[in-house]
Amino acid sequence: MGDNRASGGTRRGSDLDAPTLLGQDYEPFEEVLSGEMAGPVAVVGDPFSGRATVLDRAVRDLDATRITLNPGDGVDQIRASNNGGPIVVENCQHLYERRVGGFAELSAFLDDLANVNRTVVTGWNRYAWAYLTAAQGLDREFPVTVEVQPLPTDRIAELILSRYDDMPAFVADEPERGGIIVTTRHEIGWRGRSISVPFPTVSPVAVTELFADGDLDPTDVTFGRLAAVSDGNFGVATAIWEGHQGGEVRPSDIAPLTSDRNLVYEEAFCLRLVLAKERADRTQLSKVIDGLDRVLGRLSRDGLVTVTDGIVELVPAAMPAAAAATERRGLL
Amino acid sequence: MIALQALGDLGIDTGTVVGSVAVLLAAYLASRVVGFGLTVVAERSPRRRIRIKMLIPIVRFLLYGTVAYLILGPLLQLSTSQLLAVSGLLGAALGFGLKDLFAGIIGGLVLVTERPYQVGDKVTIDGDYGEVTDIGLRATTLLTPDDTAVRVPNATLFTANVSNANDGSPEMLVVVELAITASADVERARTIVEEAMVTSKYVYVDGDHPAVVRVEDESYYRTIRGKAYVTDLRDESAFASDVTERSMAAFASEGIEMPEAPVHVPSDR
Repeated sequence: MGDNRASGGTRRGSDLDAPTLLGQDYEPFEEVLSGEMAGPVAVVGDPFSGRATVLDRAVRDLDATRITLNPGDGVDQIRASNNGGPIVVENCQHLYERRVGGFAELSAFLDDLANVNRTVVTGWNRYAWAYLTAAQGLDREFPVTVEVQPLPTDRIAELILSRYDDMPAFVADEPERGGIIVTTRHEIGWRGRSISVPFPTVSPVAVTELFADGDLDPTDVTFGRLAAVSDGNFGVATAIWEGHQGGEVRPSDIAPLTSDRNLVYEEAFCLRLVLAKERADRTQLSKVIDGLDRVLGRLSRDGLVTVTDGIVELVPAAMPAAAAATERRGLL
Repeated sequence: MIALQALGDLGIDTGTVVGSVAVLLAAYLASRVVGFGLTVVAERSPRRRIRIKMLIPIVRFLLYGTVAYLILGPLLQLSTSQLLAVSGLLGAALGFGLKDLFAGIIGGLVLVTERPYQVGDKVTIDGDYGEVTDIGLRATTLLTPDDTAVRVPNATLFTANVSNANDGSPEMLVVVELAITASADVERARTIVEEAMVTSKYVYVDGDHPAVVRVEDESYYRTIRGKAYVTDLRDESAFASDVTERSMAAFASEGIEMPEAPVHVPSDR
């Protein structure tokens, strides 16, 4: 599948486009942009999945005013940019806070939305959208909702290979590098005692090799694994790819960032809020999370979030781990 | 000695007795190991906890059922006189106090087959409320909110009402009640309680599990009753406390008065 020899990597711009990202949802999106269908439209996607690229297309086609919301922003930022023409509002997940009185800005925005007759395109984080749909019936306010789809393996491979000037050499995993069963040890508490118990898990790489008929191209296997661990999310795939150092890459080198310990409830909830916001204001989080400093310290040490200048950000390569950890607990 | 003599008369030698005890011991150990293993796996996955723990009593009854078959198998090929002797022994045992034990075992079998509740459910049995932590051969163990283990004989199932708050789901409906004065802004208080519920870290809400708030006029005060589901039934009291605390803080900051004199808020649980 591609050149197997290279090292390092100078990054070029992305070739992602709205039709690729939206898949079947591109048709209704295009109808809204061309005026055949009435909006407002909600563009919903995972963090780092390429929502901005879809919104770029809306800005270009509609010649719209783009409003990018940041943590702490509200409906005033949107009203201030109102020039009567079409608008594209990015990061609408910043319009609510998870506290009593935290839906006021969102409610005001939806009231404004009900009274406009121009095209409005909004961008939403998928986790925030799911929560607001469950808690506030948000989906009822948007007659058109389009979702950013996971990219297939070959598309991710194509985009990664075309994105960098230099590529590492793709090398097959050595058969003796690991068996089908990989054993990790976990601390388990039982009646006040803590014991370290071996926990066997199936190695996806070993299983793939087991059922492979003959020698697979290491490039295909590497990108297959990259697509699998990133859930087809191009931003996450890029972050995992760039996290790998060295002149050679093996399929088993492709792994998302994970935390080895079980998160306590407060940590999981904090992570869920950051996952839903992508960038969260530390002051806002402190109103909701007990012992925020310690919680953020532990999440930072685990490599799941970064904290800079009062802003807590989700680490792209840790997105699959963050989603899995919070969904295992059923957090909204 | 008399018992051994009676067994000898039935043609059961010491080797058979020792073998039976060994099989019983092995079954006991196996049931403990399986129970421990399934509990460890279940606790690692809160969303599937109840479904996994549901297997524990089933495996346990299968194990003991197999053991009973292995031990009693030879006794099933008895002559008429031996059968009469066994029946007499069994009748005497039942009459002298094993009646409750047998009723418990039958109750346990009904629990495993009909499943009115499972390990992990929150139930009220004969006035005792708590999480089912174990369904044994003879009794069910409940862990009350006060961290007290209550052992309820399985036979209670035949004589008392059993109410199950979650019926096998990890989610559970929790009711939160707050009182406000008759002159307070009811609509605002209602919104506050609703927002306190849907913003709680413990809440589970979707189209099938809505959060609802009802207002009841009690003449001298009003009751705001919020109902919402928790993601994990173990967070029942944490959710109620979280919602109550944040609602009261919001009432205070927005000047919504709560009655000063103690009022009786009727509970529908």
